Amino acid sequence: MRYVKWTLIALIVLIVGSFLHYTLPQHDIVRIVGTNTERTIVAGNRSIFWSSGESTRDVQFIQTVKANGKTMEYRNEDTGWSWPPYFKFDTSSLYTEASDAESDKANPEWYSITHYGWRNEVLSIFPNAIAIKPVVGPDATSFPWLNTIILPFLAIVLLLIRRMWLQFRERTIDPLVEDAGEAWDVVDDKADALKDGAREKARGIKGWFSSLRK
Amino acid sequence: MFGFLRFFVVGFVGLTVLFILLTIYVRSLTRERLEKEWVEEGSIGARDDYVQKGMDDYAQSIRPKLLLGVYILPMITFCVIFYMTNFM
Repeated sequence: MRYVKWTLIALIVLIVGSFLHYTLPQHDIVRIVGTNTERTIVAGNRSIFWSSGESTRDVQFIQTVKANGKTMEYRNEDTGWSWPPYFKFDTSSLYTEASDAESDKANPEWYSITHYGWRNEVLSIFPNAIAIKPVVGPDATSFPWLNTIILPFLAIVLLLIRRMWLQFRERTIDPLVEDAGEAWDVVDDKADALKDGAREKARGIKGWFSSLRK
Repeated sequence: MFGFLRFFVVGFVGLTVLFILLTIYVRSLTRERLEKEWVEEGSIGARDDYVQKGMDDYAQSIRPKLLLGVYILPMITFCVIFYMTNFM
């Protein structure tokens, strides 16, 4: 039973953690090497990792190289009014900015790309770029302001829900249960009284019979 | 346009549920606080009257109106995110 419980907890933590890791913004320091538009087929279960829209459509991509030489590709799509709530409508502008930011190995220019999502070669999914801004060098770091606000806020919301539930239980459910318990006690007492009464009577009748025998 | 409407309708419904739940919660907290105050002040007079008066005072005060922040704060957050994503 304990294993079942911990497996369930681990599973929940894993799912919630993955969801947050996918949805919350992250920054990569990269050198932008190219941008292109590709006809892409977004079908089936893969589509949850892409923006909504036609299953076959042109998607813009941004190709980059990190300081350690590893490559990273981003898609550049509107999120619009749907999930996740970045309300990104400036895909075209971001495409222009990215094209303008291209640099080669000899004269690298470093950019911080804000994005959400995952790159997975097997599933063929790409993180969605949200914004790019120039940074001084490949070692630049930035403080994750948004996540510092969002994560504690989520924790507070969870605590609040817990407090609300406890308050509801203490003030609404428990009194109801107590009332029901008291009502049951009253019924129980009455039943006991009836039983006792019947016993008395039975004793009386028995006594009368036994008095006859004497 | 459809997405816009869906976002605002779903958002409004969700926030309304939250608003109602929070209203019930804060009223419950206030009632509990009043009941305890009545005991601390020496259980003078009828408890129900004391609590009812306190609840009326609470309804008159600014505090229940602060709960409208449930609508206002997400609206501000939305505007900030919208501006940051598209115009910065």
